[in-house]
Amino acid sequence: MPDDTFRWMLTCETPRLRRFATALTGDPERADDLVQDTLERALRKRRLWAGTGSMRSWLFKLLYRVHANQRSRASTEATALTAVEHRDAGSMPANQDSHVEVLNVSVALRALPLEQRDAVLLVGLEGMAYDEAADVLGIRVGTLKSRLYRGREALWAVRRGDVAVAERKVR
Amino acid sequence: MTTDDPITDLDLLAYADGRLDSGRAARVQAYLAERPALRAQIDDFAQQNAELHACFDRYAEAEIPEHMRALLQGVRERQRPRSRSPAAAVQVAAAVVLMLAAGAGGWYAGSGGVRPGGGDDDLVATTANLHDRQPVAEPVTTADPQATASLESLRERAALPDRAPELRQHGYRLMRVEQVDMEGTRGVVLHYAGRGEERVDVVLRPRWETADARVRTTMRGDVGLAHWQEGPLAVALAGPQDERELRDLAQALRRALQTPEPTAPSDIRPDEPSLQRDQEVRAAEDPDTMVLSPRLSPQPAAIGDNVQP
Repeated sequence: MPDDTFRWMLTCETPRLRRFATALTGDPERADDLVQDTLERALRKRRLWAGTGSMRSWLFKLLYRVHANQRSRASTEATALTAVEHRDAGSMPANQDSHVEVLNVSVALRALPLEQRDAVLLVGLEGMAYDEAADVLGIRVGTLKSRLYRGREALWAVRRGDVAVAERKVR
Repeated sequence: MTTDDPITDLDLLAYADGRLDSGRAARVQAYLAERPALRAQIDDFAQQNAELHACFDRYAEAEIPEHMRALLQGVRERQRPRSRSPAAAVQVAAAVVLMLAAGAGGWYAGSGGVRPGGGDDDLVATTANLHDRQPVAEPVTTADPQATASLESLRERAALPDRAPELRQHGYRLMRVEQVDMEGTRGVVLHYAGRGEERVDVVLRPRWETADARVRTTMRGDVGLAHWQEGPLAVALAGPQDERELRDLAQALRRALQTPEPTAPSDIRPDEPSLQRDQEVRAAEDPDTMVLSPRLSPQPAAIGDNVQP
């Protein structure tokens, strides 16, 4: 594949990568660092992409691996909301105005175990097919579906303010 | 609804994601109509997707930052400073490439000479080339006679520590040792692998002139550069942008490369042909031990204990 074509394809996928990275990290600056690393890696390792599969899947897989490596090393990474944050997030009525509702989902997302959050984001935000999301995460499709269902159940409970249910779901 | 074809959680997920065909979707709808509580939950699943988009789509719609666009267009320019999160700090260390080379006409990178003060472009390009290679799948052992011969050949011209520089504290494991020609002079490349896809490459080459031993640093694009003289070696390091991290790494390498011998430069120019001879390969007792000199008693280099990539 010509270099300019490859770079053009990367450019097309970059907005989605930035969105996913922001949702993963919760920090737009860190997200851009993550995307930058992913793009650099993709350019260096372009020969590893077969050219026939989905470039999007390949890029998301690269990004997720970089992020997972960082996450596994960073002890400061929050894995769950504190009890206060959790309660605050859950206490918001679901029928408030849409702005509050959106914030509520964003905060509630941070309450999920990381593996559930990753599954919810790939399918719910990025619209990936279940098998594609499972491939990005390096897990089986059945595992992906399980994490996705449990993650959504937990989000639902948090949004309803049902902290007790949410805590059961995220375990 | 028949018991042979029950509605499953997967059906409910797919319904919330709008991925069921119309027939199956209708059956799920009928199923949910009889279960209001479940219906509210599944409706919420669908609403979650919409709200995720409302929350994060703006990041996909935002203009791509200039530094990112420059990268995508193949334009070299200085990156913006990275965020100083712990994860970012760990990540940036993964891009380390170390180059140790001769010092007479400057220091060398790969097959192209790098001259002090004006050769950073070559150094960065060579750094990228080294990283562009396919990763090595298997760790090195002393069973590789060519690798051991290469190291011994280098040792003829420059005193080296007993073993390859230890990078375990940085999470890298020695994977391969090979010879490299640099403008007619042979050097040795040590390839290390870290966690995931991270790699470090070290190039060793003797110097033959005395020079300032201080560590000097500079920047080139998104690569931090440090270079100094280390006894018989000239050392160049390309890695993190952060100067403190760069200097910490340089100090770690200086400790690893220090020899008990005097720190004079090599007294034989590295391009003299008489230096080449057949090397005797002596395997160490520990198959995972790679000694820089087969003449020395092998000591466990603990390479096998390194952090698994």
